[in-house]
Amino acid sequence: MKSKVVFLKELKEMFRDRRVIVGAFVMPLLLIFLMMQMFGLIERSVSGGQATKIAIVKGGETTALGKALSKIPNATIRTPDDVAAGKALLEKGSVRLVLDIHKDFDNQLAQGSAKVGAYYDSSDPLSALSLRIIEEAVSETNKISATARIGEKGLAPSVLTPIALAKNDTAKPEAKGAEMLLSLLPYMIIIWAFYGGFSSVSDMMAGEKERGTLETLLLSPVKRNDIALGKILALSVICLASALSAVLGVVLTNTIQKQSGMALQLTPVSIAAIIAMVLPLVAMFSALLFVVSTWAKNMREAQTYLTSLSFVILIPAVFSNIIGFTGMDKAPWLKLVPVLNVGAGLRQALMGATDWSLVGVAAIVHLVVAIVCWQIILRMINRDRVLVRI
Amino acid sequence: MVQVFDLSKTFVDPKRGEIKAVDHVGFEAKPGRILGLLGVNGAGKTTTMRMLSTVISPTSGTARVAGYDIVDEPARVRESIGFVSGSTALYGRLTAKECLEYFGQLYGLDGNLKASIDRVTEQLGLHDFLNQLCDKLSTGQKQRVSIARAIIHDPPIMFFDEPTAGLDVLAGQAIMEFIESCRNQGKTVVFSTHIMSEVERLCDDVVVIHEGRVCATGSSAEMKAQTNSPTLEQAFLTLVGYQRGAQ
Repeated sequence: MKSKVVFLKELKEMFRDRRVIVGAFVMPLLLIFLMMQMFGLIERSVSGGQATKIAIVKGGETTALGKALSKIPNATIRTPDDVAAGKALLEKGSVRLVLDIHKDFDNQLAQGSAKVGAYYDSSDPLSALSLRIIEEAVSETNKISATARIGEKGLAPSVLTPIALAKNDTAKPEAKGAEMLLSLLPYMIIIWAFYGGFSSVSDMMAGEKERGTLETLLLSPVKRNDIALGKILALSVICLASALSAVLGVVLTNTIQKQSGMALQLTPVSIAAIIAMVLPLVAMFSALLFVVSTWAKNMREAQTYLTSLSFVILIPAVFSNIIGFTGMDKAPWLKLVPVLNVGAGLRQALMGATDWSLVGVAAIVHLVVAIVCWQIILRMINRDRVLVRI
Repeated sequence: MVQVFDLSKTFVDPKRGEIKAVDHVGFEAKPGRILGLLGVNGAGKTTTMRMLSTVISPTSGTARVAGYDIVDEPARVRESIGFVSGSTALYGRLTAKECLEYFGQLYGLDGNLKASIDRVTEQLGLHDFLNQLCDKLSTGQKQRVSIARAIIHDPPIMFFDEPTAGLDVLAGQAIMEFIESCRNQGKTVVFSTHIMSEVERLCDDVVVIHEGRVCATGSSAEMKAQTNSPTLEQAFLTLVGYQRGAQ
């Protein structure tokens, strides 16, 4: 099998290319580490009290509401002299919300109703989050006050909540608390399965044409189909290794950070489903990338086409990340859309809820595209045009 | 032996239409002799060589190389030829030895690969840089490795397509000596060039190609006599119909 000789030589060359090592192996690990650090920073920022830096205009802190707010976990309460001073603190970012609670708040509340002024910056996510926290605290205080009043009138507290909502979470135990990982991981696997081959594919055919080595190779008695097979297999290995590098990046970072509730429990069934989806996906990506490299006259032309192709891949990959918010994640047609179906399928498999019909259809769809691309590659490589373009 | 019968190649350009790169070319190259394809840039020499080496297919006509038809038995033809050109390159991230091993395996030399590498290393003096990456070699060293790659399977037919292009005098001299050694070994050599001095020194037979067509065949002396010219250069200019100030 001469394709094996070509395959081994391509791999040897690729592993000696710093661009491939960086693009296919270092970047997935590094970028994922940085992204996970960023998510960790956001989480620490929110839970560490950045959203509960509150200013209560002087006098308001001694009211019942002021005292209740000071009990919010990690709350930092500042007491500016007036609203203007509070707004200045808000503008500087020293606080995320300013509350103007009247000194006579408790008396007003006892007489029926009281008004609290809240100043916040809707363009600041932490300020908006701070408002939500305060709304919850106010709602809780309202509930306590109302319960006390209806108690005084001899009514049961259930009068306040005639409809009781019983919440029952049907999420799999594996999925609980790992939402961030579940939305990130499928996206990362897809993106790096594609970008892993990006740095080496333009060199494989377009680069060989440009340097003149393709003619040397075609002068050997090896069939052109074997040459294409050897090269595309080497490219698939790099794409697959890059996708695995992305998975490794998530797992390693997760282990290092030991973030609570971000662990996935992969079962043999879910691993089998992931492999069944990723292998055809890699076959399709490799074939698509190779078509472009075979078509292009030189490296520069190849890289221009590859950049355009990357947007075609990126759009469904990004959409797969947010599809849960659109309500389309369970639509029947989703199974037929390349890349998007793998995004949904990987998410399900990682949650321990493998939909084998989705896995099967996704695999078939990607294999069909890969076979079509393979036929195009064979037509191109067996024509004079692969060497001579007038 | 290389026998070329009425070989033509037409390319189709969407803007310029059909371009006849080679137009009914025919000639014969014999073992132990060097046949020179002489022509200006764009005359059709490289296209002819590429068709003979089966990397592109003819539009019409055919040729027999080492007894094999280039259209019907292309793999057999490629097994029987070595091709060296000024533009063929090596893999920069492989060492010279790895390049030779790679092509040796592609030519199916698995059993006697080491012996073949030793032979070409000795023949072309590659010892000093055999384990260096091809990217680090000088132009002359690269050309020697390129030749070694082309003869790793010891082919009976050798094609040289402007092999001295871009080389200095010493490296060019070494290539010409190598071409002479191929003739001395009884190989059939087809050598394309536009440099008259190389033709006069090396070629036993000359085929002048101009605008894709054969203008003349014979030895250098015969062409000079035929055109009544004192030099091959003048003979060539007469044969291709060159007129002073016409271009």
